[in-house]
Amino acid sequence: MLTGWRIEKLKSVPRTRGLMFRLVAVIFGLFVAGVTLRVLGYSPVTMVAQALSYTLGTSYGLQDLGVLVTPLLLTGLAAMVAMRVNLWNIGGEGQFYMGAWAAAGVGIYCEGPALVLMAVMFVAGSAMGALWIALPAYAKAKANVDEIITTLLMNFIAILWVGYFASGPWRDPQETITASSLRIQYALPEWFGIWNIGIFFVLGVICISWVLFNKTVWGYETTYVGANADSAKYAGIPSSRRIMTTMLISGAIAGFAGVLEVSGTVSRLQVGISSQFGYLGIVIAALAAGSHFGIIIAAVLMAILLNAGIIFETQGLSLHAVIALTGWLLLLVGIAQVAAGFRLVRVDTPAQRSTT
Amino acid sequence: MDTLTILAGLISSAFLAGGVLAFAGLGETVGQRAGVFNLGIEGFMALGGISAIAAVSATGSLLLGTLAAIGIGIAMGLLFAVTTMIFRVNQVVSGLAFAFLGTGLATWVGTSYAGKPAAVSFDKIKIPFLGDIPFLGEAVFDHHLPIYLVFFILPVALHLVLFRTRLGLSILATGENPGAADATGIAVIPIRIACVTFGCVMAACAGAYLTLVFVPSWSNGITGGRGWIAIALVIFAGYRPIRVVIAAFFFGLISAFGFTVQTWGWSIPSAFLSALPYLATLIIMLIPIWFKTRGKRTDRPAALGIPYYREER
Repeated sequence: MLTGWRIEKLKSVPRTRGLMFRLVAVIFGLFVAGVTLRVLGYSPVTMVAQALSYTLGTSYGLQDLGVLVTPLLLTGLAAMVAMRVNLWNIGGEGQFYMGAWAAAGVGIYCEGPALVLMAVMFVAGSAMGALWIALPAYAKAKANVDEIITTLLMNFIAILWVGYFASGPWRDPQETITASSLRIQYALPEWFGIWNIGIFFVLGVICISWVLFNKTVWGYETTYVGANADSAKYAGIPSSRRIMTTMLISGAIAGFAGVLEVSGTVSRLQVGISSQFGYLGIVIAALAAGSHFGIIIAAVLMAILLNAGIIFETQGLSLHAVIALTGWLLLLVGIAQVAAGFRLVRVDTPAQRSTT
Repeated sequence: MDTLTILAGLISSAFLAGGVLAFAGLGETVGQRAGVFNLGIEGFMALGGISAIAAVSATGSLLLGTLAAIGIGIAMGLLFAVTTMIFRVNQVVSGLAFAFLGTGLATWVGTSYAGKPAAVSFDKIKIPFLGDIPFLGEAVFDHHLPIYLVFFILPVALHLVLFRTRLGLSILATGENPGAADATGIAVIPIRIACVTFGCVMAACAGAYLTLVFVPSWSNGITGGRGWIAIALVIFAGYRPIRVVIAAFFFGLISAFGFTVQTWGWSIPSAFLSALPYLATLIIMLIPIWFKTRGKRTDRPAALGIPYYREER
């Protein structure tokens, strides 16, 4: 064992220290994944070089990056907002699906000026996302029912729900390969031919969330509730109501992401419209550790990884390997989070010096 | 077909479908009783399922297939235990990480096995005499070996161990008040590691059960959220092994009802029938909204999900 050294717990962890530890964990995790691929007979260095040069070096690559980063920013934010009140929204996937469903419904059945209909789609989708978390949130606030499992169960129901509509009543008869709805006529305009303007909406949502949680009394009280709900109650803050509202906001953000996917990217409601975006959002939120700026970095990182995964698929590496990788990274980030709270210190006593 | 035959078939399929939940639920019960919340069940289940079918297709031996699942369960379980107990990673983060890691790895490896039926699978064993009883025989006493094990033998054994032995008392104490347990000389961390690893092995066995008994083959997304349902079931069943398998049976019944109705050709959308188990789980999770359990004594281990650090006692 280490003689002359002692593990000491830090009283508080500086922000940059936490960030550095998480960064090292991600780099280490990617390195281990690379070595594993090498052992399995792939050539990771060429693959990464290819993926990076495609993703960041070509306009198609940047386009794909935008398509992936837009929903990830929002699902990451949705998971992080719930963490503010010390809760887990594992249901981002389902809220995403339901947001997309509501938007598609508006797009298919309503007629009117495009601008008005777009607005209705966003309101309907966000409201549907909020509705999809309302029951778990209410159960948590009222009777302390574990939100992890209830929000997760709602995902399966949402996926089956969307599957029913996409392959049944809303099905496009011309589309024979995948079950998907009729094409939705209203789409977000493109921006420089690469990304659609949805990315600005997303950045706007992140800014609003930052102001709300960091610069308002409401945000301060909510963070207080998250830190200690009982003590907040004594301070006169309605804890249950804050928890409820925050969860609804979290669901609405994930629903908003679903709307963007339908109106900006896919233009249809499909069975697999969310490529695990809801679940990846949880990983992103864990990486960001409560920082809005961190969400942006983590989402871009995750989008590059996913994009690389799509390229690797052409080389026989399944996209599921990337899902496995995110689990592995989440694990290491968890360890880094703990490790950042400790440090090794030299025990400098004469007695020990003579023994070592 | 007369009603009785249909009913017997329904009960028989309920055992078959509920077996997955029973395996995973029993394991999770032991882990949670020791105070550890294992959210990785879905991942361990997927890994167990793929390693079982890979071993069976390589060797043609059911025993080796089962052992492969148990082996991967032990390995991954120890990894989970080390991260949560030694590295003290938040149990939710760690559990979610293993759920992603497990399902991702299993699906990645499983691409080449997808859709092929298992080379060998468990045969049905009809219990002598009991199996010949007209209705009950078909419904209850004509099943695969793992079903008898998980519905009749294991829950009773676990019940006895947990509530009638010294070891069981130590496990319960570890989940209720690890500090006090430690003070009386109970090895808190080793007990937690052992219980959680047992839970992971059981989850892996649930996966093996899926690919060698229930389906029996591997396909992408075969676990279908059963790991999460199993966790909900444990809470619903009040952390008691016998109640867990009864609940697993009822969930099996709901799924079996879904399959049976689909074969009848009623005009109920199949998506709704597939959603039934999730809806049912959700409803039972939400029961406390209407019936206040607050103030009433519950069996929820007091230290569930709270990591134990001796130096912070």
